[in-house]
This record gives sequence, structure tokens and C-alpha cells, in this order.
Amino acid sequence: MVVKIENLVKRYGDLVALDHFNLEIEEGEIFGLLGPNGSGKSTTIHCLLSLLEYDKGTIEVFGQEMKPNSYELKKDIGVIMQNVAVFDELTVYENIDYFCGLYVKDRAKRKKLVCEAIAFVELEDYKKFYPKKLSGGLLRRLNIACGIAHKPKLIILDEPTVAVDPQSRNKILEGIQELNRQGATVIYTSHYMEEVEQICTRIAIMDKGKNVALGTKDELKNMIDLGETISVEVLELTDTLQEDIRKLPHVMKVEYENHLLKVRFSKGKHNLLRLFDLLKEKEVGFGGVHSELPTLNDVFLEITGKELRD
Amino acid sequence: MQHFLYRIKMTLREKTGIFWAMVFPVFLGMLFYFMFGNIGNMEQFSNVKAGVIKDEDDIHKDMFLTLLKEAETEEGMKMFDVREYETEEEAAKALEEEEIEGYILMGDRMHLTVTESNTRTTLLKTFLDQYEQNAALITETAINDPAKTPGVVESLFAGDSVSIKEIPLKGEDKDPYTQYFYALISMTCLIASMIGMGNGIGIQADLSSLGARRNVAPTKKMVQVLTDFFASLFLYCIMVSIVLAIVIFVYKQDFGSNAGMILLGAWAGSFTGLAGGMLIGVVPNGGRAAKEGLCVAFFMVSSFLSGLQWVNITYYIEKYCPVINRINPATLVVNAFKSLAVFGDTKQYMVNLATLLGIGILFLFISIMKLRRTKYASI
Amino acid sequence: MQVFKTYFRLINSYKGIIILYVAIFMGVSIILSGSVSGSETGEESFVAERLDIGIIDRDDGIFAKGLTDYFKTEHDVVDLEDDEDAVLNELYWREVDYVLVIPKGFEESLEDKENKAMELNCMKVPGSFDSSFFEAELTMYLSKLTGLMESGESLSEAFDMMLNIRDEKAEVTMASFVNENQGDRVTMFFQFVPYLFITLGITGVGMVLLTFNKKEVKDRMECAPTPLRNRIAGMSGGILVFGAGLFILVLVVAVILTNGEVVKDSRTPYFMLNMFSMLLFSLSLGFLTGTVAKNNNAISGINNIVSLGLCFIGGVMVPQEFFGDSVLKVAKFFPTYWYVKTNSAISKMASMTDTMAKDIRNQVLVVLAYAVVIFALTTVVISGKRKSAA
Repeated sequence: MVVKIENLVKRYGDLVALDHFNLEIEEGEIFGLLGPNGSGKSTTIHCLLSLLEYDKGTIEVFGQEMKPNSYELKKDIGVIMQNVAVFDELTVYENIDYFCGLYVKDRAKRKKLVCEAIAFVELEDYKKFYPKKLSGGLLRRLNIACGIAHKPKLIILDEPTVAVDPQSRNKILEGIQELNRQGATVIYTSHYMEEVEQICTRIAIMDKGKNVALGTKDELKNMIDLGETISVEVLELTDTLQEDIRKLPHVMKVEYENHLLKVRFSKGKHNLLRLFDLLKEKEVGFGGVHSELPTLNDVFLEITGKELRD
Repeated sequence: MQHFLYRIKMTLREKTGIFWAMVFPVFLGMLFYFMFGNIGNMEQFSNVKAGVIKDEDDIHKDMFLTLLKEAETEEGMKMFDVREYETEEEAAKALEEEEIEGYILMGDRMHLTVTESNTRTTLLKTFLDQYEQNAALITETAINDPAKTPGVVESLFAGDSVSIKEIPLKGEDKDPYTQYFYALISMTCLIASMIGMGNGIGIQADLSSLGARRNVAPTKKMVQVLTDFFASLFLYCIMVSIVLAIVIFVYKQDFGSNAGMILLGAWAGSFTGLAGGMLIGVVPNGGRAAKEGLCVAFFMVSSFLSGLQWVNITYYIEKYCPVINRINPATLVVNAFKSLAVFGDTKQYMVNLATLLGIGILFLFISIMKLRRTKYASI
Repeated sequence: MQVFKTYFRLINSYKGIIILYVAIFMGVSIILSGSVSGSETGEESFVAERLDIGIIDRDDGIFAKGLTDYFKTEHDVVDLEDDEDAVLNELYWREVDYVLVIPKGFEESLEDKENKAMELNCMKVPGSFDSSFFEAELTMYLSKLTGLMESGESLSEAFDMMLNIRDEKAEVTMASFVNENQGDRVTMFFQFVPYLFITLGITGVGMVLLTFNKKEVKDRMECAPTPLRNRIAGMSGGILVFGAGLFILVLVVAVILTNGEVVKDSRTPYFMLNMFSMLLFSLSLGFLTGTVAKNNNAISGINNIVSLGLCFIGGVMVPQEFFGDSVLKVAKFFPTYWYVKTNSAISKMASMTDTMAKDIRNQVLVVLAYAVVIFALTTVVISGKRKSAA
């Protein structure tokens, strides 16, 4: 067990940020913490790192209690915070060396680690650049390099891709998977469900300081009834026809707006075929059709009754 | 060691910090230098233009005029540039047009008319006072003991006197304007607060993301805090020494001859400035901008009270609220320099230095106590 | 209107700095003007400052007493213990300005006509004009005293004679065309006003302008449908109200400081005219700094250097009469010099004469010319920037 959080409670005045939150993370996982802004993801991370005071609960890392002075534990943790945390007055190389130096005292060893980190985030051409000269994506990569240069066993990334261009984002995500392959356990928080879906082996969905769902993405999607959503462009649709569609098997919900018909089906086969048959039978002309499998957003929607993104 | 060096690198690369710590004081010092370089230089003395009205046939008139014309300063310059006028109206007109600085109406008693009281007209008045008193003495002797009169006249105008020898203070600085430079150096010391404040913010997880990153590292927080502090102190001592060197060697100000103690004074000031900045960075709530404002207020108010804008303020404070002079860091630095350079008084110097360091240690202690708290209520 | 309101919102965000400078100004000006003792008129203004004179008497004769009797009306004379540390301490904190040491056997040597009298010793704070002045007085006194003794008087007789003639002094009057209140409290207070105006002009105009001119803000404003002239009007309105506020602040303090007498003073309108020109100069200086400076830190630095520099060179803090010729030549290039000169000319004025009116007008015009030149310079800089940006 790499991380074990039990009954964690954190209040900010009257606001309960974490409400008896529980979490267990196994070695080798890329664990995703997914939730809308303000759901308590960062608070969880800060508590886990012993930066924040909390009101109740226990936190264990690598089987030991995590305290502010658990320096032996901290050595094996790498942290990449939401905000870029680098010194403006130090170059790319110096920044990484500075932070790596807080973990690794041996100079020769550190030099090797820093070079590897630079290679890892592909900043070789920017070694002597000051952070101010780097673009947003490069800056995020530097931010990551500063957190992982010492080869930690547990890497915590708190929304590392905010305000990053798609190309850099993919590089970052690939990088995280690579680190995982090299043996690191990863905790990844984000409010971008696509990212979480793409890389995480296990996901916890958070809302209002609670862990509302936990599992692999397939497990999560299986938790809900929704099987697929089929959208069809229909020029005209009468109310009676809508009623007919609603009567088809497995149909959960029918919406018609702006000439677009959206039908949500629970699990089941031949849903699309049945819908087509019905439309043909009633001689309704239709255009583009596409079908979506459920996303984590749908999972979130069904569990909490609201959208993941506000 | 690595972090010590990096902290020095960072401070050096932060241009606003360098501006405040070095460019600003050197620039201000240049201003002082040009301002005060010539003040108090007595060679600049030009004689006082005095008008005399030659009216009736006063028997003393000729003697008085001779004395007035012959009067010399210690350096052998003529004190007065005497101009004669026929009537008082003429003299008054000359006075109004600033051709003369005052005019003398002779009579039973000398009468001086001026437009303002300043050092130059005071000189004129003093001369007249002496003349009056001598005349009175002669008259008195003439009445009481006429035989003695010639002797009195002779000895009075012989001008022999008891000489008064100054017991010099042990310091070497005789120029009151040097104090502006003491205040300048003490301000330079306190500007270190800007750097101390930055350090204070940069180690706290709730104030900066850098602080958060450094808090989760396995290097002890106190180690990081003290490394930062001493690296900044080390660098700042060098910077303040450079400013001091410029003031002493380029602006030619006399700080006394004990180089070690002068440097020590400036370093102690930097220590306290840095610690004060750290306190500002750590203790009060507020963002970086607010704290920067506090630092500026800290060093400006402290320097103001030590006489940066107006040197004599310390004496007024001494009269009405002496405790400020005993605890204001900038005043302590100024007074430490003053006791060395002016009084050559190591005891006073030590008192100032000890208080200064004491205050610095107190600042540092409070900051560290506050920083010891390792978890934050909110980030 | 929006720009006008925003101006004050920004001013509000700099209130810390503004309070700081107002506090420094109040501190210096009130202490400075407080150092001018109450009502000084005519001859009284010629009384040299009352000094604290310490006497260390190692001779235990009547000399110390005779000296004390003579000088005690004009100065505070105290006996000091013969302890070097204690004396140094008193000098250090200026509890005494001048210390006279009477050596053992001095009186005897004074009465011994064959040999020259012993030396007296003194200790003083270096460079203090007042203590040098006292020493000159003392020397002249001693000269007469020894003169009397040489012609056969005993020491105590000589002391008595000196006491008798102590008040034999020349009469001094101020010329009738001179205001008897010259150099009074309110003059000193007004003399320091440039410091307030310059520091706050740079803060209140410079810093705010800098914020408005930030590229992002500026671009956004350029895109807004508010015409440029409205923005300029809003800005100017804000600056004018700010300037008026400063002006009123100074006047209110002046009224409080003089118990309202400044209102009745015939010189007040001229003082105000002079201050007004300085205010305009300061605001346009702020305009320039706000245009050329890159960031707030730079402005703080510029502010400190420029305000202190202008005030020192202009004689706001160190009296102009102390300036050497070369400094005076340089000083004439700075508007603060003309401000201070005008301020003391007005202070001296009993009634307005043609010559004075001309002088004052010309000097105020010099300051105004500086204001206009700097303003024009700024607009040139701005148009230069616009061109290079386009």
C-alpha cells in the first residue's frame, strides 16, 4: 500500500472541504483524482503532503504515518503542484539542480539525475534559459522536471496540464506513463476527464469533499445504467413520434432540440438498429448520426446530478 | 553549500533588489556629495556688505569706521565691505535693492537695520555689540578712574585674550554633513529588508507555490531558512561594503579609521535589516505587494527618524522621546558610526551595536518561531 | 466617468505609500517649523539660540561663578562633573553643546601679570555653528576681562564691570519694508511643501498612470468604445481632484499649525500662488515618471531619488544661505530653488512693492515653465511611443 487515507476531515471555517474522505492507492498505479473545481482534490493532496492542517483522520505513506518531519518518506515523493513553482532568477538547469539538491546531496549523482530529468522533459535546448523566456508548455515541463528529477517512488501531480497547449499536454501525459512504467506510483488530479480516462489505471471521483465513486474507468462506466447515447439530425419530429421513441426498449431519455435528437440507451444491443427502423417506418428523413459511449462525465452526472464541467 | 550559492545567484540576478541595495544609495550619495561638498567650506566666505550713514560729526566716527573696515576674520579676510551713504533714505533704498545687507546709524548707541537675521547679519551685530561694550567700559573707567583710561583703551584694543584650546574628540570627522552619509549607509543596511521579505515569503507554503515545493522536500525547513538567510546576509554585507567604500573613497566622507569596526557596524545593520524584512515576510498577513510596501515604509520611516531628510531630527527626538533613538535600527547604525568617527568612543559604539544586533536577533527569533509551524491552516 | 472613478480606485490601492509620504512630510515640516520658536519679531530674532553650556571647574575659584553670572541670561550654564565618559555622553546626545574646562591654577595665572595666562580648554560638538558662535562670544568676553585686569582691576572688579556693561549692545531693527513675521512657522512649513508635492505627485500620477499604461490594460482600453478624449478627460479630472486634495491638505495643516492666523496673513495669497506653481510642476513630473518608468519598483526608486534630490539641491532642507557658490549655480537650474527663494521673499514681505511683485512673478513663472516643459516633454515621449508601437 503506497497511500492510505482514512476518515480525513478538513474544514475551512464552516465549509467542509474534505468530509470523511478515504483513499487507498496500490504500488504501480496511475491513480486519478477526478472532480470539478473546488471538489477537494488539491486539499487532499496538500493534506497528504502534510502541508495542511486537518481536523480528523489518518494518512499513511509507504505504510508509515505522514508527518511534516517525515523526511525519510519525503525523499521518495515527487510533487508537481498546480502553479508553476520555479525560481525566476535561476535557469532551467539551475532550477532543477536546486530542487534536486533538496533531495539528493551527492553532487555526481545529482548531476546525472538532473541531466536525465532534462532529457526526460526534452528541454535540452533550453538548459540556460530563464523561466520567463519559456512558453507555457515548456514552463510546465520544467515544473515537472523539478518535481521528478530525484526519481521518486511516488509522484503526485496536481493539475499539471492547466493552460497547456495540446501538443505539450500529450508529451506530459506520455511522460507520466513512462515514469509509471519505470516503476513510480502516480497520483494524478485533474478536472479534465479525457486525460484521466487516457492514462489512469484507477480513478476516484470526488465531489464536495467525498469520494463518490472508485474503480477502473470501465468499472466506473459499468456502475451506471447508461450504455450509449445516439444523436440523430432530424429536421422535424412530432411529439407523438418522440413518445414512440420513448417506448422503444432500453431507452432512458429522449431530447429534441435544434433539430437534433438525442436518445440515451441503457445497456442492450441493437439500439441503433431499432431506432433506425422506427424512423424509417414513420418516414422521417434524417441526416448525420453518431453514437457515443458513456464518458466519465456521464458517470459523474449520474452520480451527482450535475456536470463535471460547470 | 549548493543552496547557499544558488541563493546568492538568485539575489544577484534580481535586478530590482540590486537597484535598491546599491544603485539607489550610491545615487543618493552622489547627490549628497555635490550638495554638501562645498558647504561649510569657509574659503567661500564673502565679506558682509554693510552700509554706514555719515551724518553728523561724531567724534567716534572715524575710529569706528576704521575698526569696521579693518576687522578681519581668523583667516585674515576682511569681514566687511563698507559702503557710506549720505542719508538714511539712501541706505534704506540700497538695503531694499539688496546692495547691502544692513546699515548702521551712528548715535549714542549704534543702530543696525537689516532685513533678516542670519549668520551674516549676526556677524555685523556682534561687531557692533563689542564696539558698544568697549565704549561703555572706557566711559566707565573715564568716570571712575580717569588715570586708568589710556591703559584700558590700550589693553582693550590690543585684543589679547585667554586662548581656548579645544580638547579634540577622539574621532576624526569634523563635518556635520557626514551624518547625512551615515544615514545613507544605515538606509542601505535596512533596504536589506526587501531581500529578507522575499526570503520569508519564498519558504511559506501558504504564500508561494515555491514555498510549498520546498516544504515537501526532505531537507529540513530550518536548514533552508537559515541557508537563505546567511547567503543573503553574506551577499548583502559585500554589497553594503561596496556602497561604504564608494562613500568613503569616492565621496570622500570620513567614517573614522577603524575599518573593522565601520564594516562591522554596516554588517550588523544589514543583519537587522534582513531580519526585519524576514519578519515582514513571515508575520503579517497580506500579499507580496503589501509586504513590499511595508518594507519601504520600514526603511524610509526608520531612516527618516535617523536624519536622512534632516539631520537634526535626532536631537529633537532626544528631547521629546529619547527611547526612539535607542531602538530605531537606522538611528542605531548612524549613532554607531557617529560614536566612532566623531567621538572615537568605542563604548557608545558597542552599546549601539549590541542593541542593533539584539533587535535583529529578536526579529529573526520571532520569524523562526512563526516558521516553525510546519502545517498551514489554508493554502 | 469610468476612468475618473478608476483613477481613485487605483489611488486607493496606493494609500499605504501615500500615507507614508504624508507622515514623513508632517514629521519633518512640523518639527522643522516647531524649531522656530513662537513669535520672533524685530530685535528678538537676533537672540542667538539658547545653548546648554557645561563648565568643568578644576580650579574652584570665583572664575566659574563670574562666567556663569555673565552668561546665564543668554544660555543655560551648568556645572559638570569632571568625568570624561559622562561628558562625552552629554555631548553625544547634545545635552550640552559646549563644555568649558577651567584648569587648576587658572585664576592664579590670570592674576599673575608677568606671565601669560593659562589656556582654557573646551569640548564641543564638531561643526555646530551655534557652539562656534558661543566660543567667539566667550573669546571676546575674555579679551575684555583680561584687558581690564591688565589695566589694574582685580578679577572680581573686572567681573562686576563686565556685568555692568553686559546689556550695552547695539540696537537692531528690521527694515520697515520687511515683514516682522519673516521666517516664522508657516514659512518653514510651506518651505517643506515641495517634498510632499513631489513624492505624492509621482505616486498619485506616476504610479496610477503606469497601471493604466500597462500593455494589457492599454490594449483593452484602446479597443473600448470610449473615445481617447474622454479617457484623457477622466484621467485629467482625477489628477486635478487629487492635486486639489493635496493643496487643501497643506492649507488645512497650515491653519491648524498657526491657530488660524494664516487666514488673516496678508502674505497667504502669494504663498498659495507659489505653492500652486510647485503643485503643477510636481503633477507634471509625476506624469513624466509614469510615462518613462517600466514598473512600480522603478517608480519608488525614482521617487525617492528625485524628491530628496530636488529638495536638497533646492534648499528645502538645508538653508540656501549655506550653499557655496558652485552649488548655488547648479541649484538655480532646479525649480525647487526658485520655490524656496520665492517662499522666503514672500515671508519677508510687509507689503507688495513693484520690485517684489516682479520678482515673485518671475520666479513663479520659472517654476511654471518647468511644469510646462516637463509636460510637453512627456507628450513628446508618449507620441514617440505611439509611433514606435504602430
